[in-house]
Amino acid sequence: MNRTAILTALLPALLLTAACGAGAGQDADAPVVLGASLSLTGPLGTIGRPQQAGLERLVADVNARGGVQVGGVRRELALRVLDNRSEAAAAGQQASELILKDSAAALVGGCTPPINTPIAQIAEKNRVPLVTSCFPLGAFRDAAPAGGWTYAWDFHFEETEQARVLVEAAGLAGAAKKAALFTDNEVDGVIQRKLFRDAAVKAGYEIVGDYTFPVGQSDFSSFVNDAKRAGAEVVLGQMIPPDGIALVKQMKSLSYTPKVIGIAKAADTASWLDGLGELADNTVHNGFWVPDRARPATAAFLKAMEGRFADTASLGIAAAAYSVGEVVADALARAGSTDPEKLNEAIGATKGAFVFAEVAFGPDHTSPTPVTAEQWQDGVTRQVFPAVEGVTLRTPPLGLE
Amino acid sequence: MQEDHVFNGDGREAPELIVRGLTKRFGGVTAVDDVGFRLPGGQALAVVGPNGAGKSTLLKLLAGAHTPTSGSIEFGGRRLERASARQVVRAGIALAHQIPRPFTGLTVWENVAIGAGARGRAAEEHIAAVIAECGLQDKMRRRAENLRLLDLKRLELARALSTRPRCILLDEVAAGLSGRELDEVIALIARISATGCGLVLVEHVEGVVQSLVDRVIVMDWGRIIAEGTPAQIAADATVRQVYLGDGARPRTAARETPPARSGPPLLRLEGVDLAYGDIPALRGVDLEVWPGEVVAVLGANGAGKSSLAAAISGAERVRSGSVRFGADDVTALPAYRRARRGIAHCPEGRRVFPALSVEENLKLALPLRMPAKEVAGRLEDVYAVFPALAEMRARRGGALSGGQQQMLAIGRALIGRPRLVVLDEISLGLAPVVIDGLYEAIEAIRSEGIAVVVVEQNVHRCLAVADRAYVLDRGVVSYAGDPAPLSDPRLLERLYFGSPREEALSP
Amino acid sequence: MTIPLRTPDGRWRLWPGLALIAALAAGAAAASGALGRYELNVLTTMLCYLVLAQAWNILAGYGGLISLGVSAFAGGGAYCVALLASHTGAGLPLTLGAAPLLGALAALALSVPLLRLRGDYFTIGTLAAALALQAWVYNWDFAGGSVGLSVPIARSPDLAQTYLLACGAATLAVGAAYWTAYSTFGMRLRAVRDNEEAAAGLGVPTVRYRLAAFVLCGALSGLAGGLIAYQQIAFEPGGMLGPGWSINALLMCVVGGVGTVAGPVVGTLVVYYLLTTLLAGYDAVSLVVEGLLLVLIVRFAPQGIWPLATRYAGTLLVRMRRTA
Repeated sequence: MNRTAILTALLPALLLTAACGAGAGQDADAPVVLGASLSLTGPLGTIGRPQQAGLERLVADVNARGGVQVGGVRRELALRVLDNRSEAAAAGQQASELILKDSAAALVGGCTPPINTPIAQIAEKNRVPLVTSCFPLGAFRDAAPAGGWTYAWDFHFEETEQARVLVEAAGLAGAAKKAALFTDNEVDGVIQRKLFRDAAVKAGYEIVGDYTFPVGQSDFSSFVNDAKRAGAEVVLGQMIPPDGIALVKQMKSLSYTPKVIGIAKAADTASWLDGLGELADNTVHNGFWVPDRARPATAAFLKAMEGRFADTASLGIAAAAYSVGEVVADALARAGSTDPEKLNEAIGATKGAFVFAEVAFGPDHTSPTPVTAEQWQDGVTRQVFPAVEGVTLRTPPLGLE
Repeated sequence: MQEDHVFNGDGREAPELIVRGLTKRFGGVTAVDDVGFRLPGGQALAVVGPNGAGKSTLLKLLAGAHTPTSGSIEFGGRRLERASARQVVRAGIALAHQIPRPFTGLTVWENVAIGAGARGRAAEEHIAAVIAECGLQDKMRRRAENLRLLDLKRLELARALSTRPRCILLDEVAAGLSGRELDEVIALIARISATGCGLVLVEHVEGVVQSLVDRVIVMDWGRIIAEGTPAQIAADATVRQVYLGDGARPRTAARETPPARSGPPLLRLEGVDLAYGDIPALRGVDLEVWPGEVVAVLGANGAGKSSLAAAISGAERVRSGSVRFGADDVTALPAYRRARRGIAHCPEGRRVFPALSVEENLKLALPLRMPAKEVAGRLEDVYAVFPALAEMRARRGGALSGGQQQMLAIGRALIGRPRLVVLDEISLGLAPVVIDGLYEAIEAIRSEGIAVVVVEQNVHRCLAVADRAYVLDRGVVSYAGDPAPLSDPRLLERLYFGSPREEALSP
Repeated sequence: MTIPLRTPDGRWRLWPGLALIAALAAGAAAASGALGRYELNVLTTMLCYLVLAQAWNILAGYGGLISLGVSAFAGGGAYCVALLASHTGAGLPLTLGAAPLLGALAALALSVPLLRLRGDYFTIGTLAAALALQAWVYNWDFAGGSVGLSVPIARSPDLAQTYLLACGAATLAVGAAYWTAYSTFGMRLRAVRDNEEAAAGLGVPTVRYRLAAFVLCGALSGLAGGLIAYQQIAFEPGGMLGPGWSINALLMCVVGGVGTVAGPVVGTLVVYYLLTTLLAGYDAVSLVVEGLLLVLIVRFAPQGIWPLATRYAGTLLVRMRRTA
């Protein structure tokens, strides 16, 4: 024990020396580092990977043009990506590491409020700008510290818009104003339920059924029978794909035929089509990206990404990440410096059209992007609201008849 | 500083210990039944009796480790029957356990310091004095887990002394010791006693009792059956009967077919030595068993009976000597391989699996891939010997009475169709009527041609069925041969109690 | 008269070790000016882990109570800091004082059901308590529900200050572990660990000692949690009240050596620095290495790296003396 006691005491010193890593050097013409903590693995992996693809594409495109003119020097961009395994605590820690160890000039965001909140807070604390998408604006505002955000910027849709658009699209079917809500009881579902209610009531609907259930529900038969009895002609829901697929299949087997089925989240991706086949036809969901194919940059992006993703939702996520990078690169050029204060100011002054959408930040650091309603028609998804030339809402849904 | 500083902190005369009507029941078993005595301050009292008589339970009641069901304990005018172990030790009563229970991760010094309480220079001097008195001064930096048995016993004593007790309870502290070590411990206890510290001693080693105590109480089945000076107790007929068994059953000398002891013996031990660490358990033991005979192994507590059983079954490796079974030398074989050759061991303490049914307990002893028909046959054989087991084949092992568990343990030994069965202390803690049943079963087993080695404390019962008998005395065979002469109490007493007393008392 | 450094059985007395720890802590604090921002941040995290590991070590290594409820105390401390700071505007000293207090109170409250349990049942009980707390906070809107909480940035210390606070907390924790290892309190606690019944028979109030160890562990864990809150700024119940803290504390102690003062320090260094920092870019590899390390430790050095290293160094020293 005696030796132990002496060595015990020596250990903190060892700890100090061992922990001293090498700090990154900062030359005037070295690449400008963009740091990203993304969810490449874990439950959000399907979002993190398209984000990584979009950011990598942007950096490649910028560097192919010779980099960004920062002050008097042309500097390339360098992307440093860490995988937070879809864990919020890891995201915060990695944000610190990207700023302190990799000397990132700016952070580019991850996805979902739980992951993005710690990243944004760390950016605020360390006074380094963060540009993110994939962070619904209401949640972004709620997560702000007292006095509002200083270094965090977000362009994405408004949650209220998302609900409103789905309700309005349903209105095109000319169905009776009786709606049934199906929402799971996790955070997203709880928020969406309230938004659906508000939007539906505002549009003159009567809520004849309001069903909540835990994630992973497989038996909806009593809910479906109840909605059928109540004569609900519009079904609005928010759930994960497996639950949504189970719900629609049971509607089919119980011969419940509402005029419109609008499902948030579950119906967005290709897994919906894979799970339901023909039954997916004529279901309605949200769309988050309306590519302006006339713009050369957008067309080039679409071409570069062709065949990379199975569904338009992933493509939209990649596009949003691409535009996050575009916003930072644009601000770098205008700031003429990697100084965080100047860069932050330049980001705030962003005003222009990017691949994903037009971005101009308001005083609350948000910039809303359009949200649409789309319908699965013959195996592809088409925008039905706001109305598009040559596409009409088909009803009733599915092969339910 | 007073000379008796180490043992009796304040140097005052120890108070009187008065016990009245002390009773402790565990479920339906009455372990201690209406025990009462007075121990005037500074005197020494011994509690003797056969295994399972309730002696250790009595000490635990006095020490506050168990709470009595009824009765009172008074020490120096304070009532302690409801006091916790902690309060009892504060009141000045300390217990040294039969099986040492050191704090394994602590050094010897720390083990003693735990009980010493206060800190500072005075406490350290006290600890050092206790350690020195118990002969542990060379080992005080050692962790208790690295100590040998003798030192663990010393440590157990030292720990009890560390609390500055005014009455100390010693539970078989001399068990397992002999010769010089025994003398040392006796001298230590005598010194403790001389300081005016009260002493309650549970002891089997007669010499310890004789030389140390003022009074003796004898317990059996939880009750005090005799009380007096050591000399009076030694002459008491009841006591002898308790120790040697009741002898109520006449010896069945008229066996119709005494086994033919022709041909080679089934089992032969030659010059077997066995030891646990430094403590020798068997020294140069020779033993022979012929097919179909019942051999009794007798001896006092700690004489090496169970060690002999273990040497036969292979549960313990012998240090030297040989064990032959049939034509083969099995000395180097582990227990399971000896079992396959036909040696079944029914160890002390039954070891029934409480969660398994009677039938499952029996089947455990059978090979996995035995045809169902064969299994059923084997079970029927066991049920034929113990019809009581057949009636409760579905009952959980844990729900059986002690006697039924013992039947099950023997049945499990028999189901493998052994050629030799070793039965270790099968009557321990059982009522006489139950023991009768078990011994009838031994007759039945012999009639099948199976050899039986019976290790027993219950002498007369055992001699009644034995064809030959061995008596062990501290690891050495002191008698081998015809059981008949052993029925003479004087011979048995000499073989049993004789020598240790003489040796211990010799200066 | 000379003041003896050791007890008669050769163990160190308390004060030399405590003095040494204090001196080293002062040295570490003085080094803060020479460290870069990244090093400060990494060391702060490591020191917080060290506090948790030592707290766990006091309870498990000396008290024999293996807890999987670290998150209940660490998370409790973090939530206490965040709630106090954002709702009452309390400053750093008050919030960081409240965190260990809350940890201690939580331990006191949990001791009623938990300290009656022994061995595995205690372990399972602590895990259940931690998971119950997590489930409750998920649904407690006042504390941010599943979204979690943030500490006001304006009132949180900067990197160097956080590092200094972590140095202080680590000094307290290592000091507490050293005190537990070498004091009469610790000696009696170890006696209760080795044989509760025998300890009671020697006049040790066993329940009080187990409770004291549990409360000490709770207080230190709460303090670490409070610091972590200031370092992370934003946290949510999934991470802050999840089982990760327990697993890390356990891993660090087991790797370094349970029931020694230096073991958790070595363990923290190895587990945190080697695995989560050096191998950070290779997640799959780091998991494999972590698992492999644990298997190797449990198989070949079940007492941990530290006791193994001291024994090896001891024999080496003896050999060198012989050859010299």
